[in-house]
Amino acid sequence: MADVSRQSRSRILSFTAAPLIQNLIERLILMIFTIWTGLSIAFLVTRLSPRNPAEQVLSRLQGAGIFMRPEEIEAMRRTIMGLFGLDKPLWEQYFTFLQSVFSFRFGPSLLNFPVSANDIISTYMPWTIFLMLTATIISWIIGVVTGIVMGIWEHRRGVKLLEYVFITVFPLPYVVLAIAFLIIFVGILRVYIGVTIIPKFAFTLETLSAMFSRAWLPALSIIVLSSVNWAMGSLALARTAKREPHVFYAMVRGIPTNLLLRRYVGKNVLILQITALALSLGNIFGGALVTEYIFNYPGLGTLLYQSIVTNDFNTMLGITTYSILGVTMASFIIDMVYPIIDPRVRYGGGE
Amino acid sequence: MARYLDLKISLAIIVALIIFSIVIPQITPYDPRSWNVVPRDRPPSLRYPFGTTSTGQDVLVLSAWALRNSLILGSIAAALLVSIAFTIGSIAGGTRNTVIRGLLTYLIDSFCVIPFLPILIMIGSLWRETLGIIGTALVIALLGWGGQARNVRSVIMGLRERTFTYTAIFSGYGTLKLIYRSYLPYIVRWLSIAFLFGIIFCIGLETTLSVFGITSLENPTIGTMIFWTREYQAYLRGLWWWYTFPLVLFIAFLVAMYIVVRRLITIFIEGIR
Amino acid sequence: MDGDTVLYVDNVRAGYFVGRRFVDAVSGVNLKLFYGEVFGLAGESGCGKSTLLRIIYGYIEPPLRRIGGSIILRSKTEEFNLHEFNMDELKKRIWWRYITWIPQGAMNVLNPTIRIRDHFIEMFRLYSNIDKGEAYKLTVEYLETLGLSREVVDAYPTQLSGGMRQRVVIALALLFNPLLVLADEPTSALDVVTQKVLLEQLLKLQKERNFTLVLVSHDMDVHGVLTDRIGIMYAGKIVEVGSTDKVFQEPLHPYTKALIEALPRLGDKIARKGLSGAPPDLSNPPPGCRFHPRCPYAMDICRREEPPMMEIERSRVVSCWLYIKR
Repeated sequence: MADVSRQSRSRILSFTAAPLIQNLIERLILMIFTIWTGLSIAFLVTRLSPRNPAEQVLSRLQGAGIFMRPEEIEAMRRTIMGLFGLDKPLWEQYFTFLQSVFSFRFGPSLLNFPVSANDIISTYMPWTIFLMLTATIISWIIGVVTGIVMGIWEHRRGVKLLEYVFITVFPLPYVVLAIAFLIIFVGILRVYIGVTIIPKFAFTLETLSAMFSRAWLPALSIIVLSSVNWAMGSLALARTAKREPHVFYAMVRGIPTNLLLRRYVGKNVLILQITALALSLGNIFGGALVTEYIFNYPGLGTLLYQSIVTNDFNTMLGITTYSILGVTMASFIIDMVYPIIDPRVRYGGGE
Repeated sequence: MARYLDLKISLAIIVALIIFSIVIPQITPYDPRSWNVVPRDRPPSLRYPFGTTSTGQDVLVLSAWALRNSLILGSIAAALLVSIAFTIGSIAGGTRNTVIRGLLTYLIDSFCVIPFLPILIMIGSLWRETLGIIGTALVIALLGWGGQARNVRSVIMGLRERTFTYTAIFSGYGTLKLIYRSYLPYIVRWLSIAFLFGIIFCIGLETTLSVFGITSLENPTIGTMIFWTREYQAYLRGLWWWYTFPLVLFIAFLVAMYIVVRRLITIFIEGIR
Repeated sequence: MDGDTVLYVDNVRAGYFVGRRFVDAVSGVNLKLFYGEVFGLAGESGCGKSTLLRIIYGYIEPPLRRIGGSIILRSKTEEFNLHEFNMDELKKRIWWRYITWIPQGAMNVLNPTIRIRDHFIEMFRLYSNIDKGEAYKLTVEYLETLGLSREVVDAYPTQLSGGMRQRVVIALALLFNPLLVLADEPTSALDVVTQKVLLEQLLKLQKERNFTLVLVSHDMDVHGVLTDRIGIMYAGKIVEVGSTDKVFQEPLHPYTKALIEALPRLGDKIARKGLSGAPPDLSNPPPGCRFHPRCPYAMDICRREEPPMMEIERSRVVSCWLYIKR
């Protein structure tokens, strides 16, 4: 008797532990390899530059009017090369780099010499997170809700009109929209964007209001484009969800429309969009680059751009490392968590 | 058929813009990259319908060239990107060989993970001089194929699940053959849509790069035009014609392309049913 | 109107508006259904049986439209002119209380993101004011009477086999003890063994609760086993109706004959014959009797005029010129 019931139970519940752990380990290994590849490519690209950072520091010093005798220049050059580890062979530099990833200490920043790259990054990171996190979450909420509602009531005329507005915004590259914002707000409306000094980060009202005063315009531009993106995605998902047999059957059974919204269409779309949100949160540092550059916002994006054009390897690689780690770990976490949320994946087919 | 009205209008706009981008460059007597060929900062007039720029260039001529270059760049980049993505993605999805599949999946995921905008900026700032229109297209394609490859891989894997239950006898090479032969109509449809989407994406990417000022800035593209308007602060100086006309043309083109892609998708889906 | 009739379908016409064409899917159908009977609707795919079911239920969305006829439902105490109700009224008063519809592909109609019990709890709370705990108890009791274990109740649809899901759908359909159950191909996607089990259970439930079951199937075997009476449809029209035994033993309409003769029979060594040709395009049906292009007995009048429905004996009708004396 006990045998039979156990059999029937395992026929119904196909969620057993052993293959799960194997899956977890596979994905973990893949993730580590992917991170390693990404970092290595980034490292290689930085070392491809023919420009020598030591020369840049030297020329900057000389440009500031400091006169040095040739021996002093040579000594300085060697010191700088030593500091940045540039006098060592490439493979040794590579290993140093990998070490620095583990310890999160990326060495001195070229741009802001002699401040270490870490300090610079940690100064600017809160600003970027403040801007991008809030903008992303707000756009997600607005976009997904709008998209689901539009998907359900897709035949109303207002919805169709709104959809065409979205279609006009969706394919445009973010730069175009951002510049349009700048034109409207700065050029036409002459809104004043203050210049701020970046203090050491503290959770004070002062800091937060300083952040807000610089962040609202870029955030707005992100929210507009990003909401449209989320809305279009949710709209398409909601439309597909509506055509599913179980939604049809719910209508056949007389389930009222608003209940349908919540339980059937909305829930399915939400599950998918939450995972998409997590993925895009992992991508935060990538999006920051363009936004901060255009709006002159003091954050990791601007820092990254500056470090690229001045060949400040350490800062560049530091930020890139955070970015790569963010993306891979976010997608890894989602892969692991998603089966828990979606019963379809967790319990597989019963056939 | 009023149903396809938006499709028809969009196609008309695209064709008109393409003609514009071919005809004007043919009839301009001078190199679009040279500056100070016309008086500077003139508002729109009969002589210069779109006005002139602070660099002494005719906005009308510049817009046409910009459209042409952006189109060429976008098409080349998209074609290359889709080809790479499709090849790698379909092998990764269709092969029965676990080693190949594992390696290719790892390759695809790696390329999806690298922050390609910073890297593109790095490469651009290093090789700006040698990187022309074609060069930029190449670099975009070589770095950005990851996302599409992942799509292709999952689609092919899905297809494989469905029909390969009874064709388990095929070896690795036979698998490829089967994919290309029986799925060809679907593949062609997917490729055309991916290509058109790719154009939108690559033009957008090039524009972004140009605004950063790291592509070859003498070559007129929509992106470089935006860059120069920022350099010369056209917004604050009231030179609205310099940025409005090109932007309008550019937006019209992208939106029209997008509408065409959407309509194509619905047509293809109905065709399959 | 006799006291035994639960549903009158009177000259119902309906079809699909596709572009500029009208596909005449249900063309002047007349039917009477009695209390507690199992009525089968048979015919090829595309003959209109599913559409007819949908029209009777009332779930009509464009491009489908009902263009004429009346549908009257009679309970022991009331009478409903269903053709006069709009979909909202049907939702509120008729659906799931008096009539239930099990559409095609019923295996996939359960919501994969909620558990089986939640489907039922939802229905309970929709139609009455009880709380969740109460609803859960009722659900478990109800499903146990139908032979579905506790594990099924707590499971997600994807954990169950196709046959099990079908049983859940049937359980859902019978929840509020409807008068009339419309079942469209309830077993088509299942293997033969599961089919048999499911149909037997369905029949058992029908005998216990005495509802009228309308069973649509293209599979004549199913009709032979389950149904009391059978109606044959062809190209949107009812061509023959009668008790299943009589229709199987002595099919009158040429199309019915072809259907019956195509069935394998024990001991009969004659080779099975199929029908040549294909059903007509319903956006442009042939004149006269719609079957005449494929009918081996077609006469001149068949090509010109549509045959009326003729009552051959009590409860046996057929629409064919062969049986009409002139």
